[in-house]
Amino acid sequence: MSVNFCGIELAHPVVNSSGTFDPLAARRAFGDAAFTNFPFSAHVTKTITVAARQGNRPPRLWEAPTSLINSIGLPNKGIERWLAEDYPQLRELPVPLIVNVMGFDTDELIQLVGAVAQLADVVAIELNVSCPNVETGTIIGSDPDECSRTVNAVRGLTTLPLIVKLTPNATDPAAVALAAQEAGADAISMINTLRGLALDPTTLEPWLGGGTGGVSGPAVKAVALAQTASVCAAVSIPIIGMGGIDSGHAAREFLAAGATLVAVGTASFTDPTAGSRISAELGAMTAH
Amino acid sequence: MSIVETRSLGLYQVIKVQDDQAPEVRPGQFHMLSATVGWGGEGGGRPWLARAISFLSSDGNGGIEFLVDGIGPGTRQLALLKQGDQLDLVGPLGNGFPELAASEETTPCLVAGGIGIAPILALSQQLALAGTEHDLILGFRNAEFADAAAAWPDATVATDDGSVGEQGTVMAPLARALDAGPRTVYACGPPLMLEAVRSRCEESDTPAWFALEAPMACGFGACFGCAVETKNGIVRLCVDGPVISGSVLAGITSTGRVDGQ
Repeated sequence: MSVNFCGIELAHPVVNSSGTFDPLAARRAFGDAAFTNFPFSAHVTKTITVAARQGNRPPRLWEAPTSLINSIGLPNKGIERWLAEDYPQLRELPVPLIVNVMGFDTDELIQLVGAVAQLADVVAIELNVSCPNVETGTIIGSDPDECSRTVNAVRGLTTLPLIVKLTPNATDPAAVALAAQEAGADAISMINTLRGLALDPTTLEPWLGGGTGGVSGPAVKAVALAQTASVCAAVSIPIIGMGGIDSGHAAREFLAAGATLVAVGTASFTDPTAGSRISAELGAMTAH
Repeated sequence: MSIVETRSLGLYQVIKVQDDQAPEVRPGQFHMLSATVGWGGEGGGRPWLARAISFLSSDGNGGIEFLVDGIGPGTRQLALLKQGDQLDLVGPLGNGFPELAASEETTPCLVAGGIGIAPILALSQQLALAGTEHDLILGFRNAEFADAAAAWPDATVATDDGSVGEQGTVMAPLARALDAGPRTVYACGPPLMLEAVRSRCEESDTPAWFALEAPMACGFGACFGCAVETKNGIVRLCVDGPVISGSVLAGITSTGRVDGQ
């Protein structure tokens, strides 16, 4: 089941979605087995920003039918503390490390990619482009030109593979993916969460502290699969497909749609070992 | 994991599992619980996420009892489980109540309301085993719920309607306990009750620990969903709690959002 992704040899095609599996938290809760029996073939970090972020005000979660609406707001300790505190531990993982970063402007992104590109144990960088251009307000990942400019700004800083994480909240994700490819991106990961709204059942006011949130879980799988198939048809670079994958069969569907890797996200919340189960199920299916 | 026993406790349901491999548990810690079969079967496919549930008692040999109040799509399914049914269990998780320092010269004062009795009774059991004198104050809506208190004859019980114990909330017995001598308060219950207890403890400079609750997806620090605002910024209840010191809380609310700090 081993697979080559942008020149990186991985034991199987199942990785985690950014922000849905924290190996350090898992080790604290479940012991060293969380590292030694790591459920994924590579680890994608939670989004790192230049400055430390508290994240959005609570409440941050709403359960909906086979889905979760979250408004987390990218809490993280900022690049400096991540480099000093988390990276030395994450490099002990038995799998390759992919670092996800988000800059609120081009200077920030250049700073982040520049810092991460120096790290010996990082095999690829994933760009979270689900943030607005601070000058125009346009979500970078929703617009081909914005996305192209963003990839261009950092392409020359590193020879590491650059993965662009697409948002599904775009009129034409395939056009954005194509723009990313032309600007030099090495891979696409998709989908990020779909924008959603949860209302307090009593007051009918927005429930989440951040107003709207992002929908994930099996409820979004059909949308993710359609977008993955459409992007795979448009570009020649490899795709990490994700969105509601909770079984080997669902993983197999994304591979059939053209993805090279699949990522498991929300399923790890209901079962921290979901990645191992899904890769085992996938292995059993593809062995026949 | 097989359920070895279920019984009702007042309007609540007790679910007992036996896990010989289980790590030691501390009162105030919790597990993520879901039914192995049929989970997600209610209207609209809920529940979907596991539910964070505190344990009520532990026999030290892998036998753990959980207390469930079947009020939503997840807890209703858990409350319907019977002996022999399979339960998925992740845990123990969270910090639990802090150990009492040997030098502590205060008396533990345990205060609980409603379903919040679970971790407080677990703590009471632990203190009793260690021979530590403590107050135990339990508040309920009415006699139907307060049936649960009959198993703890030493508890001071208050009900909103006065049908069992004294009429009123836990605040009057709490005030009597605080007047009787130095106390450290350990509390769990609905946010309105906890906020009243917190505010009372703050006024009298009484150290206090609160087992809080928030919507939770993973339970082990991955999703950053169970956020609660404190004087020190936002914390995650699953890894920084669920037991939080009153000294860092400016308020306790049902949303985790605390204005004006």
